[in-house]
Amino acid sequence: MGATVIRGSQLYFLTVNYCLGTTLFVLIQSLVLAGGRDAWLIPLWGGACGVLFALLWIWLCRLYPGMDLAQISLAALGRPFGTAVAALYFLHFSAVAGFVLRNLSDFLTGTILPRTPGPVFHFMFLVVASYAAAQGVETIARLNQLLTPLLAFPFWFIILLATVNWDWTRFVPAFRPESLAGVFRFNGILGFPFLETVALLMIFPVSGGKKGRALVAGIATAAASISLTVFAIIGSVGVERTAKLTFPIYSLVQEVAVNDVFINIQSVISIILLTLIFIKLQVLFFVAFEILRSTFRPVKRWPLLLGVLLVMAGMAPSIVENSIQNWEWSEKYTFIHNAIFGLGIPALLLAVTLIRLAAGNRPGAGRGARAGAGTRSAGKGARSGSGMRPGTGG
Amino acid sequence: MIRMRAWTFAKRVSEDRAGSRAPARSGSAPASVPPGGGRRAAACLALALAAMLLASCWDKTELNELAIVTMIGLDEDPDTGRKTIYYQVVNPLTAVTSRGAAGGDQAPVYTYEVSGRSYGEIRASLYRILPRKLFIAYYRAVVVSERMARRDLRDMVNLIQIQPQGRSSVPVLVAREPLDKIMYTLTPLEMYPGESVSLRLSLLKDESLLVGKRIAVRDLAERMERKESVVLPMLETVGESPSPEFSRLTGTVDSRHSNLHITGGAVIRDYRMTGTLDSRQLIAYNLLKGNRGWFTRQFRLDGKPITLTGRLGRIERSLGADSRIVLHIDLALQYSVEQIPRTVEEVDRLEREVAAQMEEELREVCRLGRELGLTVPGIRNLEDARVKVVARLEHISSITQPF
Repeated sequence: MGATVIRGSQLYFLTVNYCLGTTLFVLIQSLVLAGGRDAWLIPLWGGACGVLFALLWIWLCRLYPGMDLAQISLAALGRPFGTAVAALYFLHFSAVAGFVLRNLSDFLTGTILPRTPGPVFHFMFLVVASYAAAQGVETIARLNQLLTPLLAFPFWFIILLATVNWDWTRFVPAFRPESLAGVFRFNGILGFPFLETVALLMIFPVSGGKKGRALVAGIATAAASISLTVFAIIGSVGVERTAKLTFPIYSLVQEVAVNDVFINIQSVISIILLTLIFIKLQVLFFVAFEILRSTFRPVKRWPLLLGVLLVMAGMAPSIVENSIQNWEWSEKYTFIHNAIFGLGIPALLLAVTLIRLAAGNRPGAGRGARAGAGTRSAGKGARSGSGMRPGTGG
Repeated sequence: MIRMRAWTFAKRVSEDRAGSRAPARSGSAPASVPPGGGRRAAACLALALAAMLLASCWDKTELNELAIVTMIGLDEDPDTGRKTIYYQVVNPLTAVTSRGAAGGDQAPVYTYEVSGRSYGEIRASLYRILPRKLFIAYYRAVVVSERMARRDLRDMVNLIQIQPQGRSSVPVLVAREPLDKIMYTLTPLEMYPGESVSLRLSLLKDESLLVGKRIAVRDLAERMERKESVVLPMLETVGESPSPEFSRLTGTVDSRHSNLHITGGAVIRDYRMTGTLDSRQLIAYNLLKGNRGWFTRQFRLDGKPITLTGRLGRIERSLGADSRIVLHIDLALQYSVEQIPRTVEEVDRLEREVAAQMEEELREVCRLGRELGLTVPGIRNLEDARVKVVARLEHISSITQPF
C-alpha cells in the first residue's frame, strides 16, 4: 500500500468507465421519464454534484496519504468501529455488484439470449473478474486503458450513425418549468452512478500523478458522456418512445439500417455495453476484495477471492426479484442508500479526523493504521497529521 | 512510445516493491498464493468453465430450424374481437443457390395464419402448425387490415415494440381488401412479397411523393403519442387469385395475374384510421409536410393536359395579416410531356396556372385537416392555414427520366 502503482491517466479512464458502467443501460429510461425533453440536463447537474462529492473524498484521502478507505476507517475510528465500517463497505460494494450483475443478466435475457439462465452470466463474469483481481490493480487499470478506445470510438460512431433519424422538433418545447422541475427533482442520478464512485477510493491512493484532478475529470467526462447519449437518444428516438422502451440505447441502434447492408448492428452496442459493465464489476470485485484484505490481512488470498465471488454470485439473483422492483428501488431508495456510503460515512470519518487533529491526536499513527498499511504510510500520516494542510500522497 | 513508457514504469514499480514489504498484488508475486500449480489449476478450471458455459447452448439457433418471416399481417374481427396473425415465411428450398433455385415449382413463401382471442393465445398455439422457430428479425413490412385500423392500432404497435427481435423500423401498410387475400397473393419479379412491397415503398417515397417518409411502426408510436397524424400507404391485390399456382404464375408474362398494388393513403390519428387520401391529396399532403421527393402530376393548361414533374424548392411559414399561418411553397418544375411552352409569356402562364391548381389542392387538404385529423408539424390548426404557391419552370428540355 502507498506505492504508486497506476498512473493518473489510468485512474481517469477507470473513473469514466466505472461511472458509465451500467448507467447507459439502466438509467436512460428513468431519466427521460423524469425530465422529458430536457432529460439531458440531469446528468449535467448530477455530475456537478458528483464533482463536489469527489472533492470531499479527495480531502479525506489527503489527510491520510497513501491509505485506502478501509485503512482510513481503521485509522480514524479504531479497530472495532473501523472494522465494522469496512465490513459495511464490503457489503455495500457487494450489493452494488449484485445490481450490476443483475442488470447484465436482465439485459441479456431480455434481448439476445432469452433462454440462458442468469447465473451463468453472473458466474462467468465473476470468474474472470476474480482472476483479474488476483493480478492486481495494475492489470485492471491497464486492461481498462487498452479497452477504452475500443469502446469509445465504436460507441460514438454508432450513435452518430443513428442520427439519421434525427428530428429537432423532438426537443421542443424545451425548458418548460414543469419538465425542469422534473429534471431537478430526480435525485437518483446522485446516488447512481455518482455516489457509487466512492468505490474508487480504494484505488485512489495507489495512483500517481495528479490523481485528484484525474478523479474529478473522470466524473465530469462521464457526466458529459451520459448527457450526450441522452441527448442523442431523445433526438433520434423521441421522448414518447424512449419512455416506453426498456433498453432505449439498444432499440436506437436496432433501428439503424445502413443502406440495407448492415441491419443488425445492435450486437456491436451490446458488446460495448457488456464490456463497460464488466469494467464496473471488475472494479467492484477488486475493491470488495481489497477491503477485506486490508482489514483482515489474511495470509492466503484465494479463500478471500472465492468468498467474494460466492457472495456476489449469491447477491446477484437475490438482490431484486424483477426489474420492476429494481426500478422502484432506484426511484425511491438509491439516493438515500448510496448517500450513507458515499456521503455519510466519509463525512463521519472526516469529522472524526478533524476533531482528533484539533485535539492534537494524530490519526493514522494508531494501531489499525499501522497494522493495515505498514510503517511507511503511518509515518506519512504522522507528518501530515500535525496540521490541517493536506499532504500529497503517493 | 507508449509501450516503452509502460515498460519502464512497470520496472520502477517492481523496484519500488522490492524495497518494501513482500508484494502481494503483482501478477508475478506468488508470495501469498499457493505456488504456481494452484494458480494454473485455477486458470484451467476457469477456461474449462468458459468452454462449457459460454457455448450458450440454451439459445443456440440453427438456420435450418428457423422460420424466417418476411411479412406480417394483423387482423382483428371487430364483432368477435378475434385476432389473427399471418406470418409469411420464406420457403428455404427456393432460396437461390449457385445452381439456381432448388425448389423448382414451389412457392417462395408460405403464409401461416394463426388466430386466437389474444396475441398471447396466438403465440401459445403457433407451434401447432409451424414446425420451425419463428424468426422475425428480418421482416420487411407489416400489413394491418382496414377494419382493425379503423378500430384500434394500439395493440399492434405494442406487440411489435415489445419484441426484442422485432425492429420497429419496418413500414406499416393498411390493406384495402380482406387481409387473407393480400397475404395469400404472390408478387412477380421479386420473390418475396414483403421484399417487393418494401422496395416499392422506397421508390414511391423518392419518385412520386405518394408515400410519406415516416410510415414505420416507430413513427406510428411516436406520432400518436404526440397527437399528430400519420398517413400510411394502402395495399390491394390485382388479379383473380388469391393464391394462383406458382408454376402458372412463373409461366406467364402477365403481371396482372397476381400482384399487390400500393394505392392511396390511410390517415391514422389516435391509433385509429379516420379516412383515406387519394393520389392527388397524398402529393399535396406530402408537399405540405415538406417532403422533397419528386412528383409527377397532370395539370390542365388552356383545356389541354400537360404533365410535369416537380419537387419542393422551399417551404416557409409566416404569420399573415389576420393572424393565420401562411405557408409559402416554392415548386421547381421540370419537363413536360404533352406540350412545351415556346415563349416567355407561355412559361409565365404555365407557372401561374400550375401554381393556382396546386394551391387549390393544397387548400383542399388543409380543409380536410379538421375532418380527418390531419396534422402537419409546426401548425396546430391545419384548416386555418393559408397556402401560397410559387411555381418555377426550371428545365423544359427533353425527358430526363424514363416513364
